[in-house]
Amino acid sequence: MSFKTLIASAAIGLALIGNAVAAPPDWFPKESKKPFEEIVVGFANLGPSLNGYAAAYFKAFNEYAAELGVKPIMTDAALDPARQADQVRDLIAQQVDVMIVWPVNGKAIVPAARQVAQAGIPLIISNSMIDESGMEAMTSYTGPDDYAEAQEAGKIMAAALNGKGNIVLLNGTPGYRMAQLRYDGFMEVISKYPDIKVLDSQPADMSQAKGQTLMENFITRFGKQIDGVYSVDSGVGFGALTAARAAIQEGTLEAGKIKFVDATMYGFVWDLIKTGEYYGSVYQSPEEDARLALRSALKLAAGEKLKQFEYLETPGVTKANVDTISRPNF
Amino acid sequence: MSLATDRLQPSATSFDGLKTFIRSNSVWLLALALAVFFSLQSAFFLTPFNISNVLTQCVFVGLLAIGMTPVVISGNIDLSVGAVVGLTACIVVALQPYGLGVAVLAALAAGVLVGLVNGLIVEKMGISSFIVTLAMMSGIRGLTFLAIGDISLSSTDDRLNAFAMLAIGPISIVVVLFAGLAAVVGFVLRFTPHGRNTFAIGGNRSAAVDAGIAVSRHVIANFALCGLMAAICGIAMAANLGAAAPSFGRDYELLAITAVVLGGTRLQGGKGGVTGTLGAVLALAILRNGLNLLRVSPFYIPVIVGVVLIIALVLDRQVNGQAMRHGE
Repeated sequence: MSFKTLIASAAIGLALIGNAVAAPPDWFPKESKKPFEEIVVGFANLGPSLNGYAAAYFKAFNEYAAELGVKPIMTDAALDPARQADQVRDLIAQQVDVMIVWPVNGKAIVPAARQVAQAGIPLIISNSMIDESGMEAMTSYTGPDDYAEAQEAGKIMAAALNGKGNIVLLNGTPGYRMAQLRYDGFMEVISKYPDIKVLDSQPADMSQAKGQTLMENFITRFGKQIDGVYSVDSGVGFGALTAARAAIQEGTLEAGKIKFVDATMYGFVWDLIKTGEYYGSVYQSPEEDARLALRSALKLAAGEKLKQFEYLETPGVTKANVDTISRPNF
Repeated sequence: MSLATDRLQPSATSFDGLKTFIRSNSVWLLALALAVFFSLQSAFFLTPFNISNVLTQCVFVGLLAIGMTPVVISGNIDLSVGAVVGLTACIVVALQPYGLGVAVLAALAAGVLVGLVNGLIVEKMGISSFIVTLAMMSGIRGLTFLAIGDISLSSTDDRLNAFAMLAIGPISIVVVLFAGLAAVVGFVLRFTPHGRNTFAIGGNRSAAVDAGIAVSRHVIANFALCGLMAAICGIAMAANLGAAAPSFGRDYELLAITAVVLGGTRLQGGKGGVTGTLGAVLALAILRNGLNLLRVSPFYIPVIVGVVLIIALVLDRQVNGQAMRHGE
């Protein structure tokens, strides 16, 4: 090996090492508008104090950013929609290449989102949709598909009842888009089963206490006729289960007869699916949610076109596959 | 009535003049120092867009703090302003079907009414304003949630949001409105009998009573003004965000009190002014905006704001403490 080739190979080696430090991941577009390491992502989030899901999401987001070697600019609105609008404007002032917003309030974020669009910054709305009046300002939505989650729950319910039985529904807050989607998706599947009858459907909002009260009323009215309960999420579902437990103790209901299904699984329902007391739910991963948002943001900044809705995979969970799904820490 | 007029008296010497200037404007110097610091640290700080941001970010807390200042000077406090913001924001959006004028007037009236009730209970029953307005805060917030539910309302009349988005160059119309209101309240405090009496009541209430001042009337008027400013804040917030929710304005009473105190108004009453409050609002907005621009982790920002507040108050005590004891 001549001295020249030695120098050359050393130079190539060094270049490779240099590259390795800031190597873009393989899903990153080869022909980017901007080098990977120069992309600045702004993230106006609502604050990790919302609930366990949000806390897990932000932890995963920061870890994924560190792993990729990008340094997003994060702001925390502490659940104040006015402060979030200010922070979105602070991020516009810094001329970020792409912005992610997890809205505190889907309606109140609309004027600020329009300013992001006016500034020519691609905008990702993560996890909770912006109000429809502001959708034109959004480049892409990333996060759960409430309709698909509810369809999945519908399939689980139909299988649990072998296509025949009486069910009651505990829905979300009327007027909320999410609540409507989680009702429509479930009913779309259930309506294909003529032998599954909906006895009644009531708004439990997102409240465990309200779920319990409504279920107590259902038990009084329908008693042993009830074969299945569909709840908007695990919180409401757990309220319903608590009411049923009391009725089983009193002898009003048979143990194990009613199948409980909901559309978003919390950790305590994962435990109950494992023991068999709760029939099934749908898994939504905060970690995947966070990674999807950051990945999509980097692709947008590179100039790649994304679908308007980039949905998270949300698999159904029953006793059969609960061991393959990690227990949600919320 | 010379209790609060020390800053207005011409100084004997130029050295005294400088001391008085620094004493009564220390928070403006802090704002200036922060502005210089952040403009050296971030290329984005002095862009017209960002200057407009900082000024707009002053408005909400600023409106509350300006309204709170006379209340505190007269020796009281109003913890209900944040709840009034939520209430009036919801009123101005929910009543839009009856006409925008009706909605705005109803929101303003609601704010004044809450202020009047606060003042009447404090004065006629002799209960501490801390307790009265604490109860009012909880009651108003609860009522708003009962009436609206835990949802948000979309503004249906686009004129409201369109108005909030108007701007003269980089200066938003909301900022102009805020500056005008601050000037009016500042003028009333300094140059009218009501203002002078407000200082007198806070400085020494029994002396004010002995001097024949109609103490109750002035205190109630200040609470009503504070409610009115909170209502304007609620309307401005609903206009700016194009929506309203019962949770709007949560914890804003604390941000407003922070600004009032940082601005040099004494919590026990008798001393202070709108100029200082305004400087404090600006300094706090610059601090938050600048820390965002420097990419400081969001978790550090409240800590830094708290530390700056304590340092500022300690320094203020060092500079003004002696004078304050003299005055007492």
